[in-house]
Amino acid sequence: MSDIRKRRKLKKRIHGHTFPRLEEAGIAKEFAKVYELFFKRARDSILVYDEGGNIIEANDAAIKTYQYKKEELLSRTIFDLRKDLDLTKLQFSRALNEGIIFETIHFRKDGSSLPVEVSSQSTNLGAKKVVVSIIRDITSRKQAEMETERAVIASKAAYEAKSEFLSNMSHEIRTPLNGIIGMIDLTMLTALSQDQLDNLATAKTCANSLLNIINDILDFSKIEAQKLIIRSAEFNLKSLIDKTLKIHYHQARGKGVKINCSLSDQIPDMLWGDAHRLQQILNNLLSNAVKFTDQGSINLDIKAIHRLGDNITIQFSVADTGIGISELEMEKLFSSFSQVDGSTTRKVGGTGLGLVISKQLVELMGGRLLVESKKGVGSVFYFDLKFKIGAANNEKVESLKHKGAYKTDRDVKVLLVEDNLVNQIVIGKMLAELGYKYEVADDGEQALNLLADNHYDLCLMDIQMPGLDGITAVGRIRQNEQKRGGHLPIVAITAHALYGDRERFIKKGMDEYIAKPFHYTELFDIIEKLLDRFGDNQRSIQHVATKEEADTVSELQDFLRDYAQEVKTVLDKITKNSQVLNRQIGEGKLAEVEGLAQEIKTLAALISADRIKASAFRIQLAIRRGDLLEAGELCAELEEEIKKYVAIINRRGV
Amino acid sequence: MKILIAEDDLASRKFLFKLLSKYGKCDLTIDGIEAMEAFAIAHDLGQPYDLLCLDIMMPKIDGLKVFKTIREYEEKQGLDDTKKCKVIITSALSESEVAFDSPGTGNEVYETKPIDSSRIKEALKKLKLI
Repeated sequence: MSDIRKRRKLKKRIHGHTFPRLEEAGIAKEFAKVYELFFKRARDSILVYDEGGNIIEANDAAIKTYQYKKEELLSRTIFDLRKDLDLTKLQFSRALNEGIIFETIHFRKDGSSLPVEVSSQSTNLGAKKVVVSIIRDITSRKQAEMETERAVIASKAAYEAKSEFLSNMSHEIRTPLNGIIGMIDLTMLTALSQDQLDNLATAKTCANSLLNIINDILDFSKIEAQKLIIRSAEFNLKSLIDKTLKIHYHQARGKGVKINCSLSDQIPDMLWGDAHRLQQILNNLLSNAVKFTDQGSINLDIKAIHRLGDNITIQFSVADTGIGISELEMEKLFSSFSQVDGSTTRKVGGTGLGLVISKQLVELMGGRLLVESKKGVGSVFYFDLKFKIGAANNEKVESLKHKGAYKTDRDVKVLLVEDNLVNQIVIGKMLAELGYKYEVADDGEQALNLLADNHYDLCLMDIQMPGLDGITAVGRIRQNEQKRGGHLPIVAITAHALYGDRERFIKKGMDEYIAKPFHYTELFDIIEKLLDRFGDNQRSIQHVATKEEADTVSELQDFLRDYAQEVKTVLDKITKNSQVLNRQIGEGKLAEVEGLAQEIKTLAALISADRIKASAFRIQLAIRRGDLLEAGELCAELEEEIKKYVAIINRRGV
Repeated sequence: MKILIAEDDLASRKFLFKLLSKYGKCDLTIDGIEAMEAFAIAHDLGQPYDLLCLDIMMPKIDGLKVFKTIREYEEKQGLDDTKKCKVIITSALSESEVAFDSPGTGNEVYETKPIDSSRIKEALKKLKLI
């Protein structure tokens, strides 16, 4: 018997069986029976409450679920099953009025809990209004949800790890490959037989095409991971086009295909956009065109289609007279990893990613890559992009030079925070010469202590210090000022002048920034500038010379004595090393000499002996070049510098 | 010609050294700090470099920062564009992956690795060094 016939027969039976009986007088009774059956047999718990939330009826499932005996359950209320009193009241009153479905936590007799989905609805039982709740245990659903969520998080993390890995790899993969290509190239410059030259040329081509493939894959995964960023900078469109065409001329000529280009003169030379990505797109389209065209020509057309104020929309199109694409093939065209005809991969090469990458790049730049093609006739790929028109002037900022005497007419006290003893002396001396009074703190901690009890008009803060470093110290100082008021002008001192440092330090609460080594005039300019800026709250404070200052001087002398001892120890080491160095240069031990020079450099940095350090470094550079002769000369120079330094230390009488 | 090469990868460094030694005396540095030190020392000695071959991804201080710092230094010294050090910036990354937005004074060339002898020659010509 067919399914349909079976179903029909069944339907007839139900109709014939049920309806006549429903029409009978005992309908209500029958219904009550059915409902009772539902109620008893239901797998979900069913509870009936009165208006006060007292349980007045419960089914078997409810008794099983909540682990109460039936009479126990009938003496409880809704509030015994739930914890959150207010929310329960609210939901119960909504159930009474309009009906409600919600998820919550219910508690069993033993205090254990279960997640449930509750559907509550009020109805009339005789004259009484009651609430009927159907309660479904959703423990397993919740578990499944949690597992799904966990799985999603895990897979997301794995995906992120993958793209992170790839972007890190991009450098790691390319570096050795670059090495291979470079070394092949160098070898090709030496005297070789024709055969050897051929072999190397092939090796170089292979390495280059491997690099291209890797680049494609990395770009693709970057786009997938949404890590590819479109940048904007000024560029010259004409030279970009020239550069791009040059790459393809050679191959096209080899196939007897001509490449024509027209660039509308309505397009200004300088535009703002991502030149590299634009070139990548054009490269992909042109290389495809060359690949799939065996006769005829390729035309690159660039024309302005819309200009409004500073913005210009430009259309790029690459047309070829190649094999063309059928409508069926068109669908596969822009999908990942597929060349239209699988067999072409082997014939023409490539990863099949070029078009996908190009399409996505165009979209990232706000355009759409479109194609029109006819099988056997040729294809046109084209896209519109909007650019801002560039200005191309570079204005130079004249630096203002300070004129006049370098001696302050102010009565101010500076706090110098600096861990390096030499710098303490050098900068201290500069400050004294410029007419500032000053005190020294060895680190951030000491600076904070001094600032708590004393007034300073300005602070010079070294950034790199052991213990409490400069940035942290400044943070604390600014914090204290928020409580107490006032603003101490602070100048950051750093070892290297790096681009962007100034902004970084100012963000951290400094007012200015100066890089070591600096000239005392620079220091003067900066201090005076800051005192001008923050001058009002300081001019009134009169500095009174105290016994403290005399103490400072004698302390300074003590410390100079201690310090000189340290410097001497380091200098002794340097001297010994330089003697060994001299001998090893004579013996031609390149690696050893470089190591020793490095050691001298490090020691010299320790005592801020810049000239010794520079000499040692120059020896290193000469050795890396393999120039022992120059290294020898520089070694003599180094010994000279060491002598000078020793003399200075000795002359200071310490 | 005085040339400073800043490159942490041994193979690339060797390549540039061997290739550029034909054009001048090369100093080799292996990280950003060394490069800046060498640059400063050369200025102090009054024999600044004519060409700096600068890798972007280097330890300690990256090439971009070195580049901006030396240009800032030259600016402070009041050097005009013709006296500034020519720079070939090299990187395994493609140009747009590094935020390279120097004003086009014609003093720098950007080269994506791999660099071969002909591209270096072209770059030197472009910088009017040969």
